[in-house]
Amino acid sequence: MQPLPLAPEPIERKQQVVFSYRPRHWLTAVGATLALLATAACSGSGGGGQSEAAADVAKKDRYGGTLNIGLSADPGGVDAAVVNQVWRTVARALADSLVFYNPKTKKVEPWLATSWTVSKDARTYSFELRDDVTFHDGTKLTAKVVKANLESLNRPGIHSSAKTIVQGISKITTPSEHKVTVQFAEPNAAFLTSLSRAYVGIVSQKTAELPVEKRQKWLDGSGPFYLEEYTPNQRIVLKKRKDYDWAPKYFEHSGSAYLDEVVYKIIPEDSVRNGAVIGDDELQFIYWVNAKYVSQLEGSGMTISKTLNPATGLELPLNTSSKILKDVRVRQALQIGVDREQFVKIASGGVDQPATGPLSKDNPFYSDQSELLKYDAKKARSLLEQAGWTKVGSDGIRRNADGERLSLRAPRDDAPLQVLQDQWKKLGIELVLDPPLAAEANEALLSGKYDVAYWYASSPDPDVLRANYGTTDGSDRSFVADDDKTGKELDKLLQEQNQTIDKDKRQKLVDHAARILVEQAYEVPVSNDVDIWAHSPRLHDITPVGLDQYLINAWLAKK
Amino acid sequence: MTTLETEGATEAGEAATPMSPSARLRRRVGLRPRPPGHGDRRRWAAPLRSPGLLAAYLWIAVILLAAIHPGLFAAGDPLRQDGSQILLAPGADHLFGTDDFGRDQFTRAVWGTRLSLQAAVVAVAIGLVSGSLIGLVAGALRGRADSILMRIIDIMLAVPSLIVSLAIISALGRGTLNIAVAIGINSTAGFARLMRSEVLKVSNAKYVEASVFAGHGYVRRLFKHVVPNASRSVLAAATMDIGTAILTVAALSFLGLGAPPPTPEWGLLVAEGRTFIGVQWWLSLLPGLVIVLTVLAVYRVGRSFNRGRTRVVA
Amino acid sequence: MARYGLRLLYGVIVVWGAFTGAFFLLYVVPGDAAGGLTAGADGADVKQLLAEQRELLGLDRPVWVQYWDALTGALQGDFGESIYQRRPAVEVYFESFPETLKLAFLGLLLAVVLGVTLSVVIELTNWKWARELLISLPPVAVSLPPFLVGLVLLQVFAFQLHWIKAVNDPSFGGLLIASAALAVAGGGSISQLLTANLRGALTSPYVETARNWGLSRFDVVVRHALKNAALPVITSLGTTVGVMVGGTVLTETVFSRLGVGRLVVDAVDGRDMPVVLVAVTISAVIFVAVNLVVDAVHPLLDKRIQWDG
Repeated sequence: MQPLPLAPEPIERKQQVVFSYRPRHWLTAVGATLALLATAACSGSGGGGQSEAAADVAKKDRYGGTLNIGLSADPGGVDAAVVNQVWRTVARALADSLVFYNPKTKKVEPWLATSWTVSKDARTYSFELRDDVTFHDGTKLTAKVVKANLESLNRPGIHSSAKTIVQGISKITTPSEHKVTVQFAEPNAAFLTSLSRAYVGIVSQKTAELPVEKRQKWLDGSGPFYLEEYTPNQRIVLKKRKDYDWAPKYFEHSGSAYLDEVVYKIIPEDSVRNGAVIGDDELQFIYWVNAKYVSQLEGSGMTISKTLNPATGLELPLNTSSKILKDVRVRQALQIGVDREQFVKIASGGVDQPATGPLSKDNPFYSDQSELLKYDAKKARSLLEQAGWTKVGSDGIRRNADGERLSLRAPRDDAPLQVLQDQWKKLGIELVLDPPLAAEANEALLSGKYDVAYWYASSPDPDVLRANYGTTDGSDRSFVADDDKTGKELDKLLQEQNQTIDKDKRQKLVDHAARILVEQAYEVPVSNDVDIWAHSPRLHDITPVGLDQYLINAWLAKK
Repeated sequence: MTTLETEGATEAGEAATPMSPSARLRRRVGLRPRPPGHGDRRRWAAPLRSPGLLAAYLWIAVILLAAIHPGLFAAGDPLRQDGSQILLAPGADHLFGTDDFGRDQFTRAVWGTRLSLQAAVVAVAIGLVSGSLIGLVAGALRGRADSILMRIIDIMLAVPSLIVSLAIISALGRGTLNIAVAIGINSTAGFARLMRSEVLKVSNAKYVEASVFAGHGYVRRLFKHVVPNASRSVLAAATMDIGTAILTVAALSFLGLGAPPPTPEWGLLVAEGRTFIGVQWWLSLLPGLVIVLTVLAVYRVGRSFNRGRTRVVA
Repeated sequence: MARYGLRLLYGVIVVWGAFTGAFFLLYVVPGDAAGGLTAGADGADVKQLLAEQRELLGLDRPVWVQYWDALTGALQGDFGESIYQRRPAVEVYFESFPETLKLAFLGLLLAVVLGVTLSVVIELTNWKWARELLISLPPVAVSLPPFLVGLVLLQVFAFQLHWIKAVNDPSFGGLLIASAALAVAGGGSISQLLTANLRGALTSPYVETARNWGLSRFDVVVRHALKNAALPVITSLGTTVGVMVGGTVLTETVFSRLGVGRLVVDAVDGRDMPVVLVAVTISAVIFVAVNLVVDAVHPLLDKRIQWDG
């Protein structure tokens, strides 16, 4: 049942706060050099990194077998539209999306939709659908089904981000059996990219109409696998669909998947998951592996692959309305007081990359702000002194003229935050790590009682910045005060970028917004995380796209 | 159910009292009600005759010293992170190796002593004080008050302690002291039952009856004879429960409710190191060894207190 | 008979108290199921999601209404649906219950066998050093963090020897290793208690008599002393079972087994009130029942007490 999988992934990191199975996750690998990372590993290499070695196995000999995947916690459901945590794993194998985001070209490509048009004002999207697609229950994909899908996501009870994607739709029409048009009240430039995500995986009419609580446990999609069994806290079993034949071009795959069966096993203990993938072939795949286990896994002959998160990674919104962080100088001291090189070394064994801006290098609208993110302890100290934090107490923490301590609160206590705690302490800043439990996490974060927050929103689109930091239409993660002029300007830029289709113009807006975010320290981008997968040498060609796992090409060598 | 046990708590009724096994051990073996002021000299001579006991006393002394003055054993900073010293094996520089932040695990174990002992002692003290009071009142007043108090105690025992701990910690927030409070509240019921049955038993003992004949008043009788005698086994139970409390803190750390970082604490060290048990086994097993030795020493000393009684057989 | 009626009434009061206590304890603790359900909502308008879920789950109603609903529902055996699994909480609970029962039962059995054997061996050992060593085993067993025992067993039996599967081995071997992890602490405490009692029993006039008959030491210990010493151990088994059920959460997590322990921890964390209430009610009922049985059976078992007068 757990609401909140500890499974390591950005979102779950927040959870983990919560559950604080602390050392578990996302820290990343000791193994590879940065150079290796920067080139091959980082960009969700299509087709899977390790295919060359096994390329001589003819495609027809790749069929068959059961792939066992270890999950650290029960995802709480199988449908990404309803449950927050499964988008990257189970849900992706069960349902296809209208469009596919190609991580190499960073462009949106056809999938269930063969073509589409977007109006200049980014308000009207029309899609032409494939006519040969069927769902697992045998029904066909039609415009009506898509309409039912999008409508079903915007109703009470849907508590995943799927809802954010479809909110703002004013009208959906179906001019013909395989043509669907979506209209927005306001411009929405991010819609196409969002559609590519598993949240909006298209399901059969019947599934779309199910009450939310039923969808949590059952899903009838058009994906290469169908759901065979779901036993909460134990396993999720998927079986292959023999008649599948509509994988995105990117995978260069025709026909059904190679694997007969995929079993997700829920294994809460790290050491057991690691052991199970190493010994006896109980598992062939684990993901979001803690970097500290990499040498152990590699030493045992496991294949390690790494993918850069296309959104951000560890970014900490600063509460600009909080008593201490109202002062931009203190925020800037925090910003340049982070030694990002040292940070990734300790927090992830050097696998994650130091952040160079609010967006990851893998984002199509990446904006380089590294000049503003250089570590400068001296300047940080002088900023703090200018801000009035002049005295240093016997505990090493600064105090102001009133004798107040420079103490900040953060809602997580995992490894990265512990590293920051250590780094900021050297400047005389105390960071109290006080994670709320899952059930109170959202409210605690919204209440503004934390100075340093943590939220996660992953999307290969720059609109993620608006979703996080926008005030008029967005979540206002940095608690922008009413009299904050820079904050208002930032909001304007963030709103504008989502209304701009022209790529260059949009890039300029994003650049400007990114600069304000970093320079005025509305947030502290710390690192871009790299997702580590470990698999048995028998497993080939499991493909990362963003952080999602695509199983269509995956195959197991015979023992 | 003992709840239902009739007043004059026979051996039988009392035996049914659920309480920690260690608690019953003491009671059975040792501290039977006896007139006070007898046999203390022999207890203090015991360590000299038994090397095991001597070692136990020494270990406890070392642990106490580490708690009071950790710098004596490990001069380093338990919080110092070092990216170039991650996950080193035990050696001359790092007796217990280093953890995944490059912190010296031995230094952390030493500096964690104070917090661990504090938590254990506070937990036991809370359980001891509140439990004893409830038990004393119930045992002394009997009748309706007893009945009501014991029902409340039963309810406390009936709700799984894990649920209570989790709820208390999420209400109070994480922190070693809060964990101690949760553990203390959970052990209240056990102490209350133990105290009550001791009080009932002692009240019926011959010398107390004699005191009745001597015409002493009820309250005087209670504090002169009943309380000192009953407290003896309860205190012994408390000593033993210190070990249990250390373990419970570790278990809660395992469930993600341990001391907030970066503060080191024994249970937390074991729980956090466990993810590396396949290869860097020392990260959890060495601090685990410290816990085992400490609990063992406490038990050994506790056992020696009981010796006077059982020597005839031994 | 009236006495039994009163006991029954007390039992009912205890169950009701546990139910009510758990309800309000969980209610006053910050956070609720709506928070748990929406945790991790990726970039969404969390405030609105929270309000919406709260309404759907009926968490916006006054607490007394919620309590009354829960109580009347429970009286009819309907605890409502698990908020996360969306099926009856009773069903969710009883799916895991047999697994935990198996684990705890086998654990208890192992604990008794280990504990009793060790105690008898201790009593029969003459050599002082060996005896000191053996006598320190139970406290060591009790002072090992249980999850660590499980992890070490798993490392040895699954990853080194490959006797069992690391992940939820359904075979008897898997169950046995998992319950062994549970039995170490239980066996230790049984042995501690029994060793102490054995000594007590060996001084009793009853055993003295047996010894005077010229019985061998083994006979004295096993046939006579053990019988008397075992009594308090048997009556304490009820508690030991409780301790074990508490310990199962650690074992279940380590061995990736389905079970009540994990279920309850997750339910408390996620504020899944229906599941928590089922768990609390069931364990309160078990507690009451076990104590009733022990209480009823005790006088029948304890001949010595009557004999002693």
